[in-house]
Amino acid sequence: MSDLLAFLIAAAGFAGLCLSQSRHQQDILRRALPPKTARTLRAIGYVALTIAFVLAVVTHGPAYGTLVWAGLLSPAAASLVMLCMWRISASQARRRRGKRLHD
Amino acid sequence: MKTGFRQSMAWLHTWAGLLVGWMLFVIFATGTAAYFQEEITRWMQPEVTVVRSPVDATQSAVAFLQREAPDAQNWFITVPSRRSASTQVYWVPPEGAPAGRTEAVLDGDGREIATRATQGGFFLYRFHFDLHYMPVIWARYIVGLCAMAMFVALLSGIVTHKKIFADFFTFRLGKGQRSWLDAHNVTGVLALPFFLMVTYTGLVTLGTQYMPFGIAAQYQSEDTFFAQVFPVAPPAERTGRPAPLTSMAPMFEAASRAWGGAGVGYVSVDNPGDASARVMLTRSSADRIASRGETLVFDGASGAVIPTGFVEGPAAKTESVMIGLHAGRYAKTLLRWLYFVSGLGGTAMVATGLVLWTVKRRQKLKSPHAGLWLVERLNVAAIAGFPAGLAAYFLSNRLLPLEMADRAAWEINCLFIAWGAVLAWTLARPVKRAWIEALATVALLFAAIPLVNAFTTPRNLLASLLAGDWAFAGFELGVLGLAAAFAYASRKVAVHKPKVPTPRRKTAASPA
Repeated sequence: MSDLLAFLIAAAGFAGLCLSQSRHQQDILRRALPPKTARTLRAIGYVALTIAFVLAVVTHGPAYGTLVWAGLLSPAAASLVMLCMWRISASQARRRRGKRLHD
Repeated sequence: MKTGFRQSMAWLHTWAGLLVGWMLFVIFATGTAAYFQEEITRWMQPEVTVVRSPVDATQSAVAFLQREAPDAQNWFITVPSRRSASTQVYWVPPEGAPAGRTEAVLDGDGREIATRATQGGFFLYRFHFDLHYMPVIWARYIVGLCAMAMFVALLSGIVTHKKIFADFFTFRLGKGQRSWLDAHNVTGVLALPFFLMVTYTGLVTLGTQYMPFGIAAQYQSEDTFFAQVFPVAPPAERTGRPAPLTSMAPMFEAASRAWGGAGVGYVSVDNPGDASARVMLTRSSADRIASRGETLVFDGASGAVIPTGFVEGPAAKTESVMIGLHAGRYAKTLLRWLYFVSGLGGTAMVATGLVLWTVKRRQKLKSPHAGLWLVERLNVAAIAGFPAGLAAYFLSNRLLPLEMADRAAWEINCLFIAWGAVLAWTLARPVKRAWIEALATVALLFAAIPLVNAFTTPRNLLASLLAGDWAFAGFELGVLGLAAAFAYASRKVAVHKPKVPTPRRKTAASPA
């Protein structure tokens, strides 16, 4: 259970890092965020990744916990990659539907 | 030289990656499978169902050995772990005894397993560094060379990937070469710490073979080095006075207490049944990261500890931790799955890199040259051919006659026959057709595995799920997942229409 929580917190951390980039703000939110918000999101993202690390170490001990955290980072980051891809394809589909309606 | 550092690193990355890429694909694929080698072996020995606690299984194995080899010089027992179901025993016959058999595989009750002859998941683990059909020393040099090239490719790839943070989450589909580059970058970066660790520690695992210079400089011979670092007490002289071997359970408990709760991995008994009998218990590598377990020595008749005074030095301990990180034997379920998924990511990274090379050149060249022709076909042969071989290996386990001579060797031959068949097919077909057909074949072969299992054993997928047998069910769900992935890939190739490259405007400062 705490591993699932660590994963979700890491994913939230990567979400913060992802949304701090203007390209992915367009992909996911379809608008740009002000630079101050982007910087805050990036900071929160790093903090969340750290919290996930602490949670893993508290659960499993320093050595095993570090390895579990390092291993969880990959699927957590991958979930953000997939979210961006899904949002891009959703907006492409909407644009194609919009084109067909206007033809 | 006019080219900058980044460009020369890009050149290095391309060639270090391409020349050994097909070998690396196979090494990554088998290494990834090896993280579940015990579960694979369980699936490939469906007759084994009795699982007991390690100490009970060991005691039963001792009973078997007392019947089968009572005056052996040495017994060696591989204790079953949480994940494996069988006990391996070996023995050294007494001096001057006629040649006979010296090993057996037992179930938890000490009975010989009447199971089909197979090398199981253990073959995939050994293939990962010993390859096949060649002396293991050659294989380890070849694999080591590829691992060194992999390490060079990783480091040069990091230098070349200048947008490593900006493109961290970027994977754009439907953009041809750009998409393949994104795929290669994303699979490469998201598990980069794992790839750096696994490549470096892989080289360390066979470090004394690849870099024997330190030993040569400091020791008279390799033997004196190994005797100092890994001392083995010489066996005691047989006294000729019989004394029954004490029971295993108290020794197991004493060892576990000394090791902070860890379990026993191996049991070695010198002069069993004699008054000079000694029992050596070696710590299992499943309970802590450092893979090399220490050994406790007990008097065989009384069960008393005999202190050895051996202390592991820090260099040996460091190496032991590195090997432990690579092999991941210490990992429990979640971390083991994370290792496996990262390994799949590495396999995908190598595959996307190989395909990227061909996509890039196809776009640039008006007519493909011989090198491109060869690489395109080797790509299909490796990326589709080797998985086809793996599927054939598992299918042959269920389909080869149980009484066949050299059955285990023939299962392995089936892997190579299937792999060779895909290679031959690929050489005869246009590349796009070859990809579609080969990927579809792999999907069919993997999907056939649970079906063939259902028809040849009572342990089908539904029965395994109902019984909570996660080793069996996990294996079959895993191969079904692979089948789905390969089927999806085949379909994507079939419906793919190549993008007409948009004419690029040459600017004054376009890079090479």
